[in-house]
Amino acid sequence: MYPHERSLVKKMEGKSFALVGVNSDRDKIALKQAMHEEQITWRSFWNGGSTSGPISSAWKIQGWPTLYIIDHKGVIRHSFLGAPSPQVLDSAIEKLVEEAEKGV
Amino acid sequence: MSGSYCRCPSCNARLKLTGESPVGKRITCPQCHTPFRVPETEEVFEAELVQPAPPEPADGVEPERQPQGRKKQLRPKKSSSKALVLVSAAIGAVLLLGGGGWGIWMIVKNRSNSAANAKPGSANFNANNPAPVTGNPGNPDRTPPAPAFEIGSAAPEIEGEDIDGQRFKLSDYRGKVVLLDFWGHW
Repeated sequence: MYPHERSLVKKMEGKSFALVGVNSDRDKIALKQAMHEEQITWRSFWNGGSTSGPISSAWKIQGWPTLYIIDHKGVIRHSFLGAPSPQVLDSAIEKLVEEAEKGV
Repeated sequence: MSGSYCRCPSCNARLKLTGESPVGKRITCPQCHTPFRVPETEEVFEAELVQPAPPEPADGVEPERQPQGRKKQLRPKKSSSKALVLVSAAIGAVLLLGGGGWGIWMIVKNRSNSAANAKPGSANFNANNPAPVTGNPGNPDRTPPAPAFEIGSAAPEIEGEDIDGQRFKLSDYRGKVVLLDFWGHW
């Protein structure tokens, strides 16, 4: 999944798009190491070091990964339990970025 | 033909007698010409059909053609009762097999549904080999749990720290499309 996320961030650079993570790893130090190795450059919330952390609990996350696409007005437009195919994900994002840049 | 009949004691020919009370009278046999006195006679009467017997179904014979004096007995249909038993047994077997198969299918379906239910906090999809749910036709029987927030609803605010301890908010990104990714590196 990381390769696609990396390519997505690169592709959408300069556009009205942001990839924001919520990470539930236990060990922050190990996570930082992994992020450096995997070139995970996007920002992530720290979920308190647990899958039962405050953010995932508030969002009632039932499995990892879970993805939400939120439009430029803050409205949830898509959700995925498990990673969708890159084509599905990219297509959904591109349409919403178009909306954002048109100011719809 | 109705009438009185006797037999010649000499040549045994069957003779029809005319007249009344022929018993004891002297006659001559028309065949062997032996004279003799008439012994006991055989009285034959004609019978007229008043009500025909019900026709036998298998034979298809019309009642008017039945010979006189003969009774037609209805034979019991042993073959039809045997066929009925066989048909009933066949229907019973089909119902039993169908019911058993449906029961097994329901058990298998319930097991696969319970296996597919993810418990909060404990279900871990492998980040490297994720199971896409949206648009995946591979598992039609799996009913994925619904997300907490409906499509079209406002995303709740998130306030927290990043991995370096810096505070930030989800609303900082208003005006941009956000892909919010709940992930782990386990």
